[in-house]
Amino acid sequence: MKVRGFFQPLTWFTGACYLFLYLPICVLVAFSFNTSRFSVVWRGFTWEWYIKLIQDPLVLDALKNSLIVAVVAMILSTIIGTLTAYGLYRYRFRGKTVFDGILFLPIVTPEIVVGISLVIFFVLIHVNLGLKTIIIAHVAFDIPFVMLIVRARLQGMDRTLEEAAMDLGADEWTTFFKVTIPQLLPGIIAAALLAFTLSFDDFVITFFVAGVGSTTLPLKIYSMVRLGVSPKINALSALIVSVSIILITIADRLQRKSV
Amino acid sequence: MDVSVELKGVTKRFDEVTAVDNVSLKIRRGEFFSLLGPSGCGKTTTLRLVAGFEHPSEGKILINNADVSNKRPYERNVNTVFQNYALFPHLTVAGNIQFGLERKRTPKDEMLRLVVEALDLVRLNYMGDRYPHQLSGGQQQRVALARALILRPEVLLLDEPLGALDLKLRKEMQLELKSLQEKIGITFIYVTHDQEEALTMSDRIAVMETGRLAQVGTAEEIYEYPKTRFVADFIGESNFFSGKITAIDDNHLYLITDGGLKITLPADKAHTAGQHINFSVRPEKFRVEPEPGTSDWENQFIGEIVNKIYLGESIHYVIALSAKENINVFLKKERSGPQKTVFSIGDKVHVSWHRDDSVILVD
Repeated sequence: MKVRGFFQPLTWFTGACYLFLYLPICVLVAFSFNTSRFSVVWRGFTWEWYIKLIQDPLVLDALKNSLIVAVVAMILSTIIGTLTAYGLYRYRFRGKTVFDGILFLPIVTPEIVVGISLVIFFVLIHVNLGLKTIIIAHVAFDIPFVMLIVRARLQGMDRTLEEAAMDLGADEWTTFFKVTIPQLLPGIIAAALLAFTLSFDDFVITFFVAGVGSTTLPLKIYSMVRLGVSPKINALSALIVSVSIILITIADRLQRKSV
Repeated sequence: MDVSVELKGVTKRFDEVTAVDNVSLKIRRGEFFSLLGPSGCGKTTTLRLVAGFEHPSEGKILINNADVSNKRPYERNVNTVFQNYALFPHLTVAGNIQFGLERKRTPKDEMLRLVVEALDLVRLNYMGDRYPHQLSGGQQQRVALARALILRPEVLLLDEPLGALDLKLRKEMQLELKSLQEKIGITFIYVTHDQEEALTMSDRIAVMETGRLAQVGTAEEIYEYPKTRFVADFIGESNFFSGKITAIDDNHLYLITDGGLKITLPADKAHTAGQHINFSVRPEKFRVEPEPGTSDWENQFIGEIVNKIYLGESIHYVIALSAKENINVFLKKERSGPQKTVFSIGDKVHVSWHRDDSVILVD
């Protein structure tokens, strides 16, 4: 297709935009395979930094923490978010529009504010900072995202399916598990993957609510950077980016797939 | 009378809107009963009340003589065929059909036998492994039917089940549904806005208007003796007249219309001379002739053809009987025989009809 006039520069603009977004990440990934210890010059290909990474017990410990936090937060926030979204969809009550409206609020609140408020909250109720508090914080910020995705799926669902199930002898409980959940499943899985990714990648909030011995991977990277940027950090970052991209792609596919 | 479903003064309000207004009905066991009316008349809400998706604001619903007004849908021995079929997209045809049996914990081998039987009943043999989206509209419709019938309900509720099908398939399914109903003998309550569909299939019809029952009766009763202007207008077509009664004797009621026509109607004890009444005449009840004298019917007038619409099987004439009164007349087109039935616009014609073909309306 021949593109002319205004649209020609527009395609360059779009290209430049994507380059701006992805070039730094590509460079980071590329230099994670660089033989040189000083990241700016290319000296040849190596797996060395990845091997060093998996031999570092502190990194492995952080990875373990990150996985525990992300998996637990994913499970809890998916269950809570799905049920809450279903409740908001299914029942009419006073102030429902308000609840629908403030759903976005936690998403647009600056993370630093959420982080500080959570620290104050935990201190007030005398909870020691650690993995537990990180999980609670992550569940809290994951829930609105889960609700948004599940709600979108609910709005596309045919209400008469639930009525048909009840008509055929299924009580509310059976209807929910045999008909509603299977209908929502692509949305629920997408929401879970997103929750996992958000939790796995989070730095700011985790920074505030983490305690001694509960360092997660992003926190570990931050402390490593303070000692100077090494190709090991590039390798670690590249791994995190890869995992995130894979999960988000699956989530996106699932959400697009309609029944 | 063996009553299957009874509604006693049922009213349903949604906030300010009264969807169903004091409806009382008795539906016989094994009857094909239709709820007919324009959209928004409350027919679907009435059906949903019987199904249990809604609960009455006032009144009672009895199924098999037991009060079910506050029972949940899964506590009632009724099943529904939905307008959009509502097949479960994540289950196969067999999975859909056995959904109800699974809820009843029917043994596996019996379930298998019943599913095969149900598929056979709706002529979908060997389709059990397909998914709903792989079926045509007509096939989906039959799966919905099989899914509901396999539970042997006391009553089957059908909410415009043929609405999404094309005309030819709809006609076929009408006959199929009717013969199926006769074969299995289950009470059907059928909601439709299509008067022709209701007339074709039903043992009895309830015509609804703004939440109320306008008239309940057989197809013939409703067509031949509509009680109100709404019914006469909604079922088929009608010519409406209004006039003042001049005299009444044992067999006749005489009146003069607003346009000055002197008309003879069948006697009606409920009315007295001097009263103003409305009546209707169906468009196919008229005799239209070029010459006077061959008709011995009481009401004879000279009119002028003002419009003519060719309908294929018949011709629709608009004939002016007076300055105020035009009538619509359907005449079969006959090329031979004693009657010349093809007229042109502007022709003077002799119009006559029998007194019994005038139906007095209550409003």
